[in-house]
Amino acid sequence: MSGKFSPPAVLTANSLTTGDVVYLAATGEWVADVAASQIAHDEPGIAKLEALASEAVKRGQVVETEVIPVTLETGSPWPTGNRERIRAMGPTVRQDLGNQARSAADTTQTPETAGA
Amino acid sequence: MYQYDEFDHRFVNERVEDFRDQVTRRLAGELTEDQFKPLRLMNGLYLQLHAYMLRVAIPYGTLSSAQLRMLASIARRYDKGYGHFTTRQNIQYNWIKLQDAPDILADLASVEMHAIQTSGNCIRNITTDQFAGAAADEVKDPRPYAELIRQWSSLHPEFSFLPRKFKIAVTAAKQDRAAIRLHDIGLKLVESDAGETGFEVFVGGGMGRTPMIGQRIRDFIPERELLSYLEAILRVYNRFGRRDNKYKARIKILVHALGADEFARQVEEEWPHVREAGVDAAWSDFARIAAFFGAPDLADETDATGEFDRHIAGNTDFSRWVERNTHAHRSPGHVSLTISLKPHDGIAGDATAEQMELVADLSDEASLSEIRVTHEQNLVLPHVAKGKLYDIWSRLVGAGLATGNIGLLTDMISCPGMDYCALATARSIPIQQAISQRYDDINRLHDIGDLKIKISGCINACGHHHAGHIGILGVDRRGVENYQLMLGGSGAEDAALAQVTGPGFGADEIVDAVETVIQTYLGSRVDNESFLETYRRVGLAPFKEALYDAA
Amino acid sequence: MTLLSFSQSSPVEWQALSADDTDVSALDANAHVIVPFGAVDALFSKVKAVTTWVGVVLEPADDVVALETLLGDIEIILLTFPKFSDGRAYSQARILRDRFGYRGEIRAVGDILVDQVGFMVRCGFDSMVLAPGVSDGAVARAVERYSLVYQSASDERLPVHKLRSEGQGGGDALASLGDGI
Repeated sequence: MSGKFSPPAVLTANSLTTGDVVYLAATGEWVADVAASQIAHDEPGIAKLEALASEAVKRGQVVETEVIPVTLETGSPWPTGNRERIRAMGPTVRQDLGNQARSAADTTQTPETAGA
Repeated sequence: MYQYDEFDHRFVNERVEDFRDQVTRRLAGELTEDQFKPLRLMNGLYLQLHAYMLRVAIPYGTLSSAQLRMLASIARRYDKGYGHFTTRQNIQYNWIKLQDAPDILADLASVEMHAIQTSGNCIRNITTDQFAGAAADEVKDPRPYAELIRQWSSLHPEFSFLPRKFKIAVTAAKQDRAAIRLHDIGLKLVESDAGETGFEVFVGGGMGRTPMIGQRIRDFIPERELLSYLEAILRVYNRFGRRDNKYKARIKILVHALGADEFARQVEEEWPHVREAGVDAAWSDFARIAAFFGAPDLADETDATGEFDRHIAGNTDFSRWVERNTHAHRSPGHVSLTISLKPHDGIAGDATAEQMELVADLSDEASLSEIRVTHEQNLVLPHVAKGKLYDIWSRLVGAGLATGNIGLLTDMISCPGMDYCALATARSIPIQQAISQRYDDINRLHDIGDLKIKISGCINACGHHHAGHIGILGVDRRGVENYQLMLGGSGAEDAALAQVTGPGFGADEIVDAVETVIQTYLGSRVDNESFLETYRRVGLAPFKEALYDAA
Repeated sequence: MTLLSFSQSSPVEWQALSADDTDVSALDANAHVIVPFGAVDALFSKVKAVTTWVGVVLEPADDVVALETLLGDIEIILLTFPKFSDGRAYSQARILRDRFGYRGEIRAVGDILVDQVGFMVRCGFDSMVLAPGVSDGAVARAVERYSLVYQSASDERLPVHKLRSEGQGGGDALASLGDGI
């Protein structure tokens, strides 16, 4: 995975039991809010996230882990790709569903729309 | 419709317990994800962008009201209150939790349903004409044959690890509403001069990255030898289909590489050996299966349509809805009614639990408790007396289900696209919605007439864009959604693949491009020509010119 | 490796020759020898002259039909699954059993999921070489999982349509299957 893109980056996955989109937070917990993600600022940081990913998969917490590029322009991590933005928020055609529905109650979430 | 006997019940119950055991082992850490993934996929459980997605089989698109109510109950209890009907006549739930999946399969089993073979490189759900058993233009009900094939293909030991997925469609009508020539095997029921029932066999159709029209390899296979012939086709494919590249692994690539004649020769060579092994003995079960599909006992309602005629004359909304959404029934005074799941601003194929329950109620009252799912993502009440249509319509209006657009421009097929699907490269639903908003004038829709727009969010073509009169394919171009436009496709008896117009369009340009195509059609059509007729007469050139030269 | 066997076959160690092993002088009459399909023309009769215990190993692309005339002399045929998802060997096995009536042992080798064992038995395999660590419980579950089958194959199991047409209406037939589910 390293080398495919430049940092900053964060680690995302789906929860094994619920399938929910989750991110590895600085606390080591898996959280729904991409803004709370642990950020890799350099190549060794990405390598560390990848190592944490395979450990979490082995423990059976999460599946389909992926280190994804983010931008820090708004102060907190936000995916750069369309697909990952949709994963972070939920379907653009059903704003009542997915993580965006959760964040409606959570005012700390950056209210940015997904997609191109 | 078909009803399970104790054998069928036992089989699906064993399947449920099998999967429950596998999920328990996975959650306990006894199975790794690599080991578990193929097992969950064999039960139709995918991991999509936001959650697990469960695809439930609706064999040949036929449902009872009890089954539809169970689908509604699952949507409410385990999902977010809705389901998505697919182009394979199945239903998908988008927000499933792994730990709930075994209970959902148990609920399904209680109403004689399952998720077997809705995924994986095996023989998938057998599809057919949504008006089967009712249509005026039908030779015979194709569903008993589809059920025979379904049983034969269930956990087939030789064909559960094919080079790629395998789709079979059956039709028995003059008009092909099952798109048989775009399937791995397409079967057309025919009667020989001697009055014997059999099938014309097409192989090697399909969409995806390399779309192809299926080719006829046999004019007539007697019905009682259908299974051995299918088994011979599958064996040739299983042995010689490509396995080195998943994009070249479908049977269409093998048929194309060998040529249809050589492929047919290999099948004919294999067939006697398969026949000798005795698979056609299953024909002994056919009469029992067929008895479940006896012609519906409907009274002649021709004289009971007085009130219906009055409403037709006095209510334009109703009369237009009837004009577009009903199909000729073989029983006098009856129609097959299509309930559109393409409301303006809606999501093609989505239905809420409440909507499913209303349709189930209506089917109990007016359609012998039967419902069909169409490959165009609508629902059908197959046996409705005309005299009941006004009451049905009034109740559908209140539920947002009375859109009278069947076969019109806004009756679009759309795959879930990148809003849900892990394979998608672009969104498709927002494009479908934007087109739907642009064409919200029913008079204009009627003026444009018959038109099929089909939208896919990636080259896998779940939205059948190759078969669209207007096809739209969403791709990712350097991080930006881009939409290719194609024209002139058809999945019907006049099957054809759509031609790409030229460079793609941005998300904010594609609706204007569709409008340019419509304007060009309206400016070129002669008499009452449909879009497809005009396109076939004038060709791609005038459309291309209007789309690209003017700009 | 674990050998799972459903027939009388003894789990003997078979010695695999490569296509380059042209010298068979080291073999004796008790040798159990596997010849690769590609070397059958060159080696089979030479080895057969020394020992009766000769088998052949096939890759999925090998044309099993070409073995027809030799089948009476082959004790064991190894069919290969390079990946569990490569299902060509199922058809190879069925052709051997149904078309040629091959009576020798058919063994599955390669990447095999325990959940596939039931399919293999139905296609005429007698034995499988499983990866180490597969529990007996998992094997038993995989084999006994389904008490009913819907289609005839290369095994002796009666498909559901046969149970129906023999008038074994529901309950009785199910009871007679009696595997305690």
